[in-house]
Amino acid sequence: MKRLTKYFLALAGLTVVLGSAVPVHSAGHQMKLLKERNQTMKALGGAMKGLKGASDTATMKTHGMAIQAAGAKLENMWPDGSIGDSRAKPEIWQNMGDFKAKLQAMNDAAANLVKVSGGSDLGAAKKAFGAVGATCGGCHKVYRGPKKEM
Amino acid sequence: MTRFRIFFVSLFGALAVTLTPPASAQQTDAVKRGAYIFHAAGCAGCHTDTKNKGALLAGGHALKTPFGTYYGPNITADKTHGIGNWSDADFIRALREGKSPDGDHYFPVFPYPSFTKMTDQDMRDLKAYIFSLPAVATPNKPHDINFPFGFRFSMIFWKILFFDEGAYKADPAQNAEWNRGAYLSNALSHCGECHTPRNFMGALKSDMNMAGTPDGPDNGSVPNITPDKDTGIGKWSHAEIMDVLDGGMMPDGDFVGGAMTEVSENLAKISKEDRKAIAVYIKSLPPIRNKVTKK
Repeated sequence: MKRLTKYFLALAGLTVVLGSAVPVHSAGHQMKLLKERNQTMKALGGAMKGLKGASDTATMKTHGMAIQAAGAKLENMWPDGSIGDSRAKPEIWQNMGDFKAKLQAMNDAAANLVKVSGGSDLGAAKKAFGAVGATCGGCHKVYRGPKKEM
Repeated sequence: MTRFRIFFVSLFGALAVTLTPPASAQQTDAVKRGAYIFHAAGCAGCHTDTKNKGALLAGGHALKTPFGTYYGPNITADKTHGIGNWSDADFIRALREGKSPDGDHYFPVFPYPSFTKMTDQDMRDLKAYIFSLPAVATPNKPHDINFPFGFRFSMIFWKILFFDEGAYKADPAQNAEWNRGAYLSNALSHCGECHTPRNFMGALKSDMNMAGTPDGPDNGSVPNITPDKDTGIGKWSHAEIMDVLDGGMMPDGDFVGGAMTEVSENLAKISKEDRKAIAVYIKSLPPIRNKVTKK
């Protein structure tokens, strides 16, 4: 193989390797992320709804685990300025420390709910569910904008 | 015969003294009642600068409206920068008439058109609670009002046109629960101040009561909470409305945000009966078809 060709191939290969390691914030990429983020939020809502109507700890544990899963995903879904047509506000990136702390509060409460609903005390599980709900306002008050259409 | 009279008068006197709570206990009762009203009315929300970690009720909270940005004043019992020198009559005048102790008119960003509906006793109790909280010497920040809405004297005309002064009068055609809900919603929690659209002069449009608006505080849009089935909350049950008021959970499992978060946290502190009364009242309102769209 000619030396120049080798160099080009090496350069191309390197670009591919490096390019895949660095996140590409193309418009299409962001749209996909925002869609997935919105679906993750909807999954959270569905779990909360399920918890409200639950009458046994096993059901509550299942929903609690769904919240844990959604919460874990959300920890890594906020690249710089990823607003698009979502309800995310610029305040998120102006206060990332506080935002992350609020998300952690939800995740901690969800972990506690899973732990408590592993037992048979429905009253305690309901209380733990209430504690999860109390964390939602932490983000929604400051970091989420109004609905675009009601 | 006289001995009987002396005996009964003495007995009555003794009972009157023992059964009347001592002054300090009466004051404690007023403060307790005042705390309840404080949560229902949400005073802390506009009078505390939580964004900049300001002290409770010490003012500085910025409220953006289409008429400019208003900074809530210090209403702690501080004698220099707060309302520490106010008498009960001053406090009642402020809420009932929208006037300062010096006779200056307040801008209706301070929702006295709602608070005017409170009873004198509720106002006195609220003052007792506020005066039981720490006095803080934070000076007031001047408002940043758009021309030509900053002239206080023009409020005389605004009040003539739009202000309906006076305490709430119970509707005899409705039961006690409905009337309690009407009082809570209109006089204390002042729902309409956010949820009702305003005309070009900033007065609430009574024919659009609670029907939502895209021009809410802080550039937020505010939902239609009339019982319209398509554009309002007509499909919600009393229990679902009560859940929103008790921590903010909506029927789909989502949670309220923006200014409503604090409202839902405050109303979680009042009684379940009172939340039910609000739900009963709200569901009884005329349904208004109004789809709120944020531009």
